[in-house]
Amino acid sequence: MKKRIISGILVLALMLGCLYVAQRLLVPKYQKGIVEGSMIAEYYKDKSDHEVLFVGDCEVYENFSTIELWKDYGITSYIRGSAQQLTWQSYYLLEDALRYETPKVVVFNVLALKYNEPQNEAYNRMSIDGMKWSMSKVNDIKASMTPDETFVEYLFPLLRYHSRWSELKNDDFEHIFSKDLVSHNGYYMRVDTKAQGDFPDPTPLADYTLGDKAMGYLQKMVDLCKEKGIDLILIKAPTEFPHWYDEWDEQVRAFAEENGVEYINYIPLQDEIGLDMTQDTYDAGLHLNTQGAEKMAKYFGQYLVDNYDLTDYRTDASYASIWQEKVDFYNEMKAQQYSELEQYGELRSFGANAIED
Amino acid sequence: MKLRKLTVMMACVAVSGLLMCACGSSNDAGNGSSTAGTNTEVSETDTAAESQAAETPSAATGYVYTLNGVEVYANEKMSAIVDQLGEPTSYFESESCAFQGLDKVYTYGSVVISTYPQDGEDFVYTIELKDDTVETAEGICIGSSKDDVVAAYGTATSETDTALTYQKDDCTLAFILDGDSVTNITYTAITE
Repeated sequence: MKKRIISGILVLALMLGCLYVAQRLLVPKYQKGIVEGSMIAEYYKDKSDHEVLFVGDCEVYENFSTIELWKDYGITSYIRGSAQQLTWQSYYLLEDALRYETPKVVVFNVLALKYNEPQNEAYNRMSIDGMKWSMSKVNDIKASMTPDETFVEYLFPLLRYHSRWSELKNDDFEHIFSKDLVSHNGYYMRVDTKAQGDFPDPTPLADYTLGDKAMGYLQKMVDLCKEKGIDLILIKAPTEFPHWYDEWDEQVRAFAEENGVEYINYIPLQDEIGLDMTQDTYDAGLHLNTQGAEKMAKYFGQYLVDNYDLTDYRTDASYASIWQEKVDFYNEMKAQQYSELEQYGELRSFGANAIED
Repeated sequence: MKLRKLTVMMACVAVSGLLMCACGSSNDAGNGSSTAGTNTEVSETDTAAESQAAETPSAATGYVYTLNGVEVYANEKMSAIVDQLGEPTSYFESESCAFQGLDKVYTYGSVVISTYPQDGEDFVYTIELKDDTVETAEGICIGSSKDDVVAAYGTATSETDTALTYQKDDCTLAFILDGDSVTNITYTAITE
């Protein structure tokens, strides 16, 4: 009898082990090309705490260089950003981060307020799958699922990704149990340049009211920050497309005043920041390139040190050694990208060209 | 005895493996998930491609706008429309974040059509009439009065001080008003 139980346990353990390995193999790795899906999980690997935490969509993780904030001001920051991160996802990522640390300042980019409903499973996955399990993740999933998604597929990603077995790439085998860093404290680096062109005229809307769900989660973000003694800054990144309507701007400004939080729209401040959108963007004006993100960080960093009680950690040896590693990694990636630009005229190991066929 | 146990264990592992493969094969064959997008990794990450296959946008429902003799519906495949209309007057595209497809804007004279990507195809998202040289099938154009709109379309599905919005199937038709006068007309696909 005892032997049978042991045998049963062994068989069960073996099967679970096989399923675990299969799941590790089959889930997307986001290590080349589309690396954005790796960024949420990278946060947990970071060795130190942060006085400034960004949450939001591509307008934070592509437009603010965290390393420049460190180099110029000694500000320790992290961007918990993901592609098309919805407002409730930002809230739950903030809630999740507060389990580990309490920053002095939280920065949220308001473009996501335009979305009031779940949008897209691929973006959901990139924003949620990397979170560690907690009630924040459970609630994030519930708030984010599109009608075709199910909770159990988030709980057991193998159920969702099992059909990838026939399209596995080298990346899937190489990174089955470990992943390389792809971001710089959440900042996505692109040094290439593609000048901003003309954007289509914005389409007038029948209703400019920002949705209840999005604004409700913004209110929860405000309340959570107040409860924890954190200063919340609402920003609209300086990029002009997708269009940010004046009517939306007015609503956010009114909300900020009512709740006693800062709101800064950086679009009209492009010149003051020093942005040249013929040079400081890599995708025709949708996002800044590294040169632009460094300018943005210099400008925003000065605002932060002028208005908030932040610490210059550059003279703290324990922080300085950790951040020196980050600076080195940043400089290495920057050099590699410039080298590819010089050699090929385009990036080959980053962005769309790096997506494995 | 030991051999029998080992056989049972190996059989269990083999069955679980076969289940996985069979499941994957069946899915791939059934929905063509790997065809999504212009690159392979998009199909990997855009797992929505599989589930969305069951809800491919339906064409030829809702309001119709006739452009140069070609009927255009919200949620219709844009490639078919471009084939009939020819090259647009101007064209704009922007890469969506994390390479999940292109958002495209086609301008044909006074009509602007924007699209959204899904399963490697582009579908009509909005049709916007920009001036009074073009009008809806019911004869409303920029400059028409609010009364003209109500006479042509009846009571609006929703109404504010600045807009009358009508819904038919998976399409909304919005008339933006400045006082009593229509200043913009936009057909929009309902995609949720």
